[in-house]
This record gives sequence, structure tokens and C-alpha cells, in this order.
Amino acid sequence: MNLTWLSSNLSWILELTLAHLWLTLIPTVVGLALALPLGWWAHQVPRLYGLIVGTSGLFYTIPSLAFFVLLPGVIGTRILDPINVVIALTIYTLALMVRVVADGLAAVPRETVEAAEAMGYRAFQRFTRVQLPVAVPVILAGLRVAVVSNISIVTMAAIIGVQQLGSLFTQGYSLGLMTPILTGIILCLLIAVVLDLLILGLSRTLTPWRPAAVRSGKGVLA
Amino acid sequence: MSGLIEFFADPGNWSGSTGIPVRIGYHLLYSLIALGLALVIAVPLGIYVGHTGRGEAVVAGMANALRALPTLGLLIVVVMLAAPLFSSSLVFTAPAILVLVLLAIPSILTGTYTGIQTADRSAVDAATGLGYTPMQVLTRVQLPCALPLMISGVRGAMLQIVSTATVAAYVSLNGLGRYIIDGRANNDFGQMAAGAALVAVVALVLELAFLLAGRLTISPGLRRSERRVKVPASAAPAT
Amino acid sequence: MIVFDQVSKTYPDGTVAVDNLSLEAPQGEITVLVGPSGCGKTTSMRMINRLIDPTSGSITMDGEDTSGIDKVELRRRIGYVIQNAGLFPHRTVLDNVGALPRLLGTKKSQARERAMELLELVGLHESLANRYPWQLSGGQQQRVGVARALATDPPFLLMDEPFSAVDPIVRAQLQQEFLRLQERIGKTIVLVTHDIDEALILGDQIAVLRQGGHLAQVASPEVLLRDPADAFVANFVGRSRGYRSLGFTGADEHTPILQTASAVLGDAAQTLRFRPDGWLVALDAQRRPIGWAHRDEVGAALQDSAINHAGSTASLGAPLRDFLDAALSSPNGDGIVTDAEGALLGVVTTDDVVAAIRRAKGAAAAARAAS
Repeated sequence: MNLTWLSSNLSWILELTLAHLWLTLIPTVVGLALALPLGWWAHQVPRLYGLIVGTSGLFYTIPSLAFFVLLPGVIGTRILDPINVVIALTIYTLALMVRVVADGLAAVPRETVEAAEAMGYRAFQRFTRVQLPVAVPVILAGLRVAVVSNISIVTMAAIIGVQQLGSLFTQGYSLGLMTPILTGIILCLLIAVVLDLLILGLSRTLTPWRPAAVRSGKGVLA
Repeated sequence: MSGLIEFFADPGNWSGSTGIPVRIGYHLLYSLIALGLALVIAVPLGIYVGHTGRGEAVVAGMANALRALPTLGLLIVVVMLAAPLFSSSLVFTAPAILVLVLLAIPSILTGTYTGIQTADRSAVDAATGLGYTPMQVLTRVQLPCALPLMISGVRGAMLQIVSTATVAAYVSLNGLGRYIIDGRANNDFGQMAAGAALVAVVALVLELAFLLAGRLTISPGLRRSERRVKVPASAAPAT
Repeated sequence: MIVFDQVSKTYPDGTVAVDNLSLEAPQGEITVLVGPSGCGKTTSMRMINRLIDPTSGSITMDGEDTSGIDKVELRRRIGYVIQNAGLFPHRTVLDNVGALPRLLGTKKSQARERAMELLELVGLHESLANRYPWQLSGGQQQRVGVARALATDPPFLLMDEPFSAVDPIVRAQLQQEFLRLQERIGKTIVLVTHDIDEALILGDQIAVLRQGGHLAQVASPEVLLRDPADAFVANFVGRSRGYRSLGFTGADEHTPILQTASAVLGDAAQTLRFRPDGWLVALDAQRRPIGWAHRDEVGAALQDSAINHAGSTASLGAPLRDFLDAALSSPNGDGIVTDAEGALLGVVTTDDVVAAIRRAKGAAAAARAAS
């Protein structure tokens, strides 16, 4: 490790880390927020399931670098605007989470939902008070996959000049220096572990009713 | 958008060593080499893990760790470390392909071993009881039943490879990614968009090819259960 | 014949699954292994085709020690049917049945032809031949499983809870069909079930096992009901043993079948002749009994609405249990008796059935005393 490089670039590295966090978190949160109603819809109307899951699957097919470059042409943003990265990642997250939400809701025991219906819960109340809480473990397990993938995908944007931890890779490559690259990789992995554990902890907090043995599942990265 | 159309309209971009057909050819060639190598490694290993149940935790852990590892960083590290080991003509190609193989393995491996593990246990028991040898049980019952998940794993691997091969243009791998990298260097947004569009089309065409291959090779007897068998998260498509 | 000679199975953790089992499964008969869960019945059966190897003791098939036969060779001589059928999900019904013959080198056309015959044998319509397993009901899948096990015409058949996964009505139907099938094919069969009623219906011989793999009793169904070896067997065989044991003895020739008043549905009221107690047997056009009708209920003509359907019927030659049930369920104490085609023969009184049961018991006791 080249400590001189490291110490002289500390504030830049911090800047990149913060940018990386925003570029990862905003799409993850927005993607999840959009996936909840869409996933519920796909679950309620079985005929839509194939359409919604299939269409979102097609978005997943498009390689991320190509997606970053193509978006401006479709939505009229500037080609190097970070907003392209945010939108592309939001779509990826949405594509992954729609299916997870629909499948998670489908896994809620039918008797539980019927009991709520028989007790007089309205459709929206059933969703927010019964189905969603019970589906939390499945949904958050999916979100852990999404967030960890997003952290890695964001780095690709360095190629088109969007500043985040990936910029350390391009910087290191052009300088022929290993230190920035390794620093970038380590920080990416660190963020991944921290966010993964945060969601895991959230999942356990939201589901105190699950048996401890089930809740003590390992992190995605463990 | 006008730059994009201009690029495709220029006959010069359709011929020569930097022309579209040649670049598509390279992109597919490297992708297929990587996929082939990944298959040779991952399928037997997946059969072993699925059959014996050994090493499952290691494989699952590896798949998850690789997902978090940024591919661009990995590519650059491997190229910088390995480049001195190869002769001049392979100096960028071989390390890049190595990374493509590495990234493709988890998806195929996971698809194969979960496919074998989720093959109908009572069918396996019945086959054994009727006098199938362990090899016959594997080739005639387990593998055909594992095919839907295997193909889905290979499909994920293929997309991962095509995507990473695009990025690998940054470390000088030939292929469609070159248009994006070179376009960026020259501020030629038309060329960038054209390269991106071509990559997206290649990825979608390959996706459709796999859907078709699935239709042709997966027994209709298994098709209904496709949606019920949840593809494990670690086999999720990569980008 | 399959012979267990002092066979034990102990797992490395010390669990004894089967403890010193000696048992014979006679040629051409159905031997049922029955017992509560954990009694080692499935383990015992799976040791026959060596899906599990015994820890000690030997199993012989027609005198040949199975431990000396190659596992795969051995299994190909023994048909195997399991719960939920275990069909190959990626093969059609026809190719499931023909799978093993194909594996052994039979030509595809021949294998399919034979598979078609087998489907007919197990009562499946040929239109199902090209379906996949998921397109079949549970009962149909189970029939395919039986056909597949018979594909190479093995002399032995092992069946592990073959009818447990289907609903009671289909199960009863499959059991009866299976007995008719066995009359034609005469295989040496070992069948495992947890259901004592199924064992009593299917078994020529029943082996009752208890927890820890001990053999509690081997006997015919009749003896098992009449003379359980100990409290465990008695308890396992269950309640109404006395009543169920009547299922194995017919009414003797001294049981009187009496004439009775009868009429066909739709007959006008003025033509009807009732018995002194006011009842008559209502018949359909083929003179098969529908039920009893009472004078007070009949209007201008004999209508279905006037008929009491409570009474069951017994056909001549049926076991005493059917006669007793017919008498007990009748609104007037007389059981309706029919001929083999189901047409009315007459009635039998409750007192006469009880007398017949008493005579049968006496005869059985005398036979035991003599032997």
C-alpha cells in the first residue's frame, strides 16, 4: 500500500465514499418504494404476474454500462449526469424487487389472509397490517441482494466519468497504482457488509415473532 | 439521438477491423470462450456438490462474495497483476477472459447444484429402487429434472459475461464496449450510444436464444413447475 | 419366497431400527408389514432390495442370499412402488412405464407396446398415455407407478405406503382393483402400511411390528382379529375387533332366507301387498332393492319419497358381517338379502343372524380344540 498517496487523497476518498453511498441508497429506497405497490398488484392479479415480472426481467438483461449510456437518449438528460446512474439502478432494483415482493406476498399463508378478511380487514388494511409484516423476511432478504449488487454496479459509472468509488479504479489504472484500486475494492466491500448487516438487523427488529433459530440467519456476505 | 443514427448510417462503420460486424464477432467470441470454460469447470463441480451436498456453504458464500466484489475493480487488478505473465498478443485478452470465467462460475454452479438437489426425491428413490445405477439416476433422472434451473443459471452467467466483456473494453478487450470507451475518450456521444445500443441488442438476443433453448430442451413435464421452483437469489441475473 | 432370517439394522448412533426379524413372505401372496411410525416396517422392506443394508442376519429370495447379488441386478428383479408414486416428472406416462425396459435395451416400439398393455392392466385409459405426471390425479399417478413396477414382469413386488396419499374413496377403489390385479399376476408382494384397515383388506398375511423394530405377531387377518398375541396387537388392531372378524366367516346353510312383500317403484297403491308389520321392499325395474316402504307413507303410487333408505343389503355368500349390518340397519329388524346380481332374494331376521354367528363361533372353537 502506498501510504503517501492514501494520506494526500483522504478527503477525495471520503467525498467518493459519500457519493457512492448516495448513488446506492437513493435507487435502493426508491426502487423498493415502487416495487411494493407493483408487487402487490402482480400478486393480486395473477394474469399480470407474468407481464410485470417478465418486463422487469428484460430490463435486468441490459448490461449496466449500456444502460447508463442509453438512458439520456430516452429521457433527455445530459449523458454524464449522475441522475442517469440513479435512474438505471432504480430500475434494476425495481425489476428485482417486484418479483421478490410478489413472491413474498404469495408465501404468506392463505389462512392468515383469510382470517384477516373474515375479521373485517379492508384490502388495504390486510396489505399493510397482515400481508406486508408477514412477508418482511422475504422482502428484506431480496433487498439485501439488491443493495449489495447496486454497490458493485455503481462503480461501472466511473467509465463514463461519474464520480464515486469506481473513480479510484480508473485513477489507479491510469496511474499504474495498485493502492487506489485496492482502497476502492475494500471500501466497496465494507459498505456492502455494513448495509447488509443493517438490513439484516432491521429484518430481525421487524419480526420479533419469528423463532430465534430462523432469525439468526447469516448475512448475505457471511 | 442524431449522433446515433449518423453512426449507424455511416457505411465506414460497417466494415474493417473496427466495424460493427467485427466488434460483434469479437464480443461473442470472447463471451463464448469464457462461457465454455466456465461450463467445463462449474457443471461437474455443481453435479458433485448437488450429489454429495458437500461444499454447499462454501459455494453459496463464494457466490455472494463475488456479487459484492466490484467487477471493474476486479478486472483492473487482474489485468495489472497478470499482464506481465502473458506474451504480447494475449496481454489484455487472457486476464480479462479469466475474470469473465470467474464471474460466470457462481451462477452456473448454483443453478446446477440446486437443480440436482431439488430434483424430485421420490423419483430418485423410485429409480434407485427399480435398479438404475447411480450414473443412470444422474443422467436419466436428476440432470433432466435439473435442466430448468441449470439453463437459468447458464443464462445468468451469459448475461454477466456479456455485460462484463463490455466493461472489459476499458482494459483494452476488443468488442462492442470499445465504441463506448473510445466514444467517451473522443466526446463522440453518437458512437457511445451506438455501442450501448448494440450491447443491449446482443444481450436481448442472447436472452431470447436461451428462452428458445429452454423450450426445446426442457421436458414439458417440468415446465409447469418452473414458476413454483424459486430461483435462489444468488442465481439472480447479473448486470 | 422372501425369507428374513434374524435380520437386524442398527444405525451408527445406536438406534435400533429392526431387531432380529425372522419372517417369511410366501410365494404369490401379499405380506403386509404394519405398525406405528418408528417400528422399522419401511426399513425392513428397503432391506429386501438393499436400499438399506442389514447390520446382521440374512435375507434370501427363492433361497438365494441377496447380499451375494449385485445391488442393481437385485433391484431389477424386484418391482418397486412408493407413496406419491415417484414418477419421473420429465417423462410421459407411457415413457415412465417403459423407462426400465428401455434402460435394459428393449426397442422403443416394443417398450411402448408393452407399456400400453400395462396401462390397460392397471385400468388407465390409453388417452392418458401421452400426459405428463402433473396432469394426472393422485390415484392415476399411483396406477402408473404400479404399471411401471410391473414393466419388466419381476416375480417380486415391494410397495411402500402405495395408497396412502389418495383420498379414502379412491384408496378403497385402488385397493379393490389391486386385489383383482394380484389374482391375475400372482406376484410375491411385500407391502408396507401404517393403516391396519388397509392391512386387513389387502394382506394374505400380516406382520405387526412395534417400536424398536420388534415383530409382535405374524398371522392371517382373521387370526389377528380373533386372537391377537398381546395387548399391543389388540390395541393396534383397534376397536370392534369382534364385529370386523365377522368379515371372514360366511352365513351357513341353516340360516333361513324368508319370503317378503315387495313392489316395484311406480306401482299403484291399490296393487301393493304389505307385510303384517306394514312394510314392503321397494325395488327398481331390475328387481334390485332400493329400501323399505311403510303403508302409512305411501300415497297414490309407490314413490321414492316414501322409501326409507337406511337399511343395507347383504348378498348371498357375503360374510356374516354384512348380514348382521343389514339386519341392524333395517327399520324393522329384517335384513334384505340379494343374489349375486343384486336382485331381491328375501330377508333374514336379526335373531337368525345372531344364531348363525353363535354356530360359527362354536365351529371355530371346535376346530381349534381339534387341531
